[in-house]
Amino acid sequence: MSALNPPESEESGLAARVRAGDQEAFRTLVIYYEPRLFAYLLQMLGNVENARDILQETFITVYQALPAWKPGPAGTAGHPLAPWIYRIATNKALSFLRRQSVREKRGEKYMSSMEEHVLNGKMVPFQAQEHISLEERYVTRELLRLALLKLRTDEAVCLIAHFVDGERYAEIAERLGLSNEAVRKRVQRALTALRQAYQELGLEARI
Amino acid sequence: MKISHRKAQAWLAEYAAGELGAREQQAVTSHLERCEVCQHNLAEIRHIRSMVRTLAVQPFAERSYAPLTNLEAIFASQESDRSTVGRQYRSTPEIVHAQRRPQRKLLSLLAAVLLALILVFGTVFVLNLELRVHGGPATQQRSTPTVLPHNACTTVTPPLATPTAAGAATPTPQTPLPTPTPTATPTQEGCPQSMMEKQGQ
Repeated sequence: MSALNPPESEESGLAARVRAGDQEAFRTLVIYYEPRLFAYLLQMLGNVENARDILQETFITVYQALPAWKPGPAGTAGHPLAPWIYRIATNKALSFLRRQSVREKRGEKYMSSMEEHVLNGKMVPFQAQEHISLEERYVTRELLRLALLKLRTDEAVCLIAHFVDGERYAEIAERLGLSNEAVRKRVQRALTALRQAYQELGLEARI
Repeated sequence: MKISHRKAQAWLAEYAAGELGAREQQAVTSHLERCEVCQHNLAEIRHIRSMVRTLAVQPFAERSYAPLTNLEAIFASQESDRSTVGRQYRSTPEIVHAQRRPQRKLLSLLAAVLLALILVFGTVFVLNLELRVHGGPATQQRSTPTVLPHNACTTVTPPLATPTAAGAATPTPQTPLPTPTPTATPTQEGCPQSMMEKQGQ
C-alpha cells in the first residue's frame, strides 16, 4: 500500500484500524492529508504559523472523533475521509478568522497576515503574487477574509476549491461527496460573498 | 437561443467559470454584446476571480518538508482531550447535539428538584392549614369529639425516634376524648418493640 495515496477501501480500513487504537494507521493518514490540508489552510489563512496550528488542531479532532465517523453515501474519489476532514479543517479555520475579526473590532493590536509575513521575512509561497504589489496582496487577502467570514463551511470549501484552486464543479462534487447542483449553489453563494466583500473594500472603481 | 437579462445575470458566474453548456454559453455571449450592465458585472466577476486566484498554493510535495503535525502530542492527548473535542468542533451537528445533552439533563434535573420542592412545601402547607382548621382553640370547641381525636393524633404525634417527646405531646390534644380508644395512643402501637421496652424501663 502506498502511504501517499491510499485507495478508498484501504482508507476505510485505515480508519477502522485507528478506531482499534492503531497509531501507525493514523500516521499513514496524516502523511497523505498533511500536505494537502496545509496548502488548503495556508490559502484560507495566509499565515504559516496559523495554518500549522489549525492543522494540528484538525488532526487532534480527527484522531479523537474518528471512532464516531461513518462513511458518507457518495463516493469521494477514493478518499471517503476527505469531505469530513476538510470540513473539520474549514470549521477550525473559519472559527479562527472569526476570533481574529472580533479581536480586530475590539481594537486589540492586530497585524494582518501579509504585514506580519513581510515584517518577519516569512513570505508565504504564493508564486502567483510575485508580480503584484504589496498593497494588492494585502487587498486580496482582505477580500478573501471578508468573504470567508460571510460563509458556511461547505460554501467556504467551495470558495477555496473553485476560486482559489481553480477546481471544476465536478471535481469539487466528487471530493466533497456533493451533487453538481449543490456545488453550483455553494459556488454561487461564495461569489456573492466575494462581490459583497469587493464592494466593502471599495474595489468597484478599479475595474 | 435568446435569454432574458435576468437569466443572463444568473448564468454569469458559470459563464466566467466555463461551466455552462455550449448553447447557454453562446446565449450569454449574445446577450453580453448588447447589455452593458452584464458586461460590467462580468468584468467585476473576472477581476475577483483573477485576484483570488493569486492566492493559490500548490500542495507541498511529500517528504519535501519537515513534518508539520506533532503526532506524539496527538497520541498523548487522546484521553485527556476526548471531552473537549465537542467544544472545539462546534460546527458538526452530531457533536453539537452531543454537547447540548448535558445541558438538557441538567435542566431536567433542576425541573425535577423544583417539582419535588413544590410538592414538599405544598404538603407542609396543606398539613399546617389542616392543623389550624382542626387543631386551633376556636375550632376545637366547635368540632365533635369523635372527629377531633383522630386528626389530633395524626398531626401532633411526633416522630417515633424520640419517645420522650411522644409522651409529652400525647396529652394535650387528647384531652377532649370522651373515651380513650386504641386510636388515641397510636404512638405506642407504632413503636418498635425495643423502644416500648425502653419506655417501660
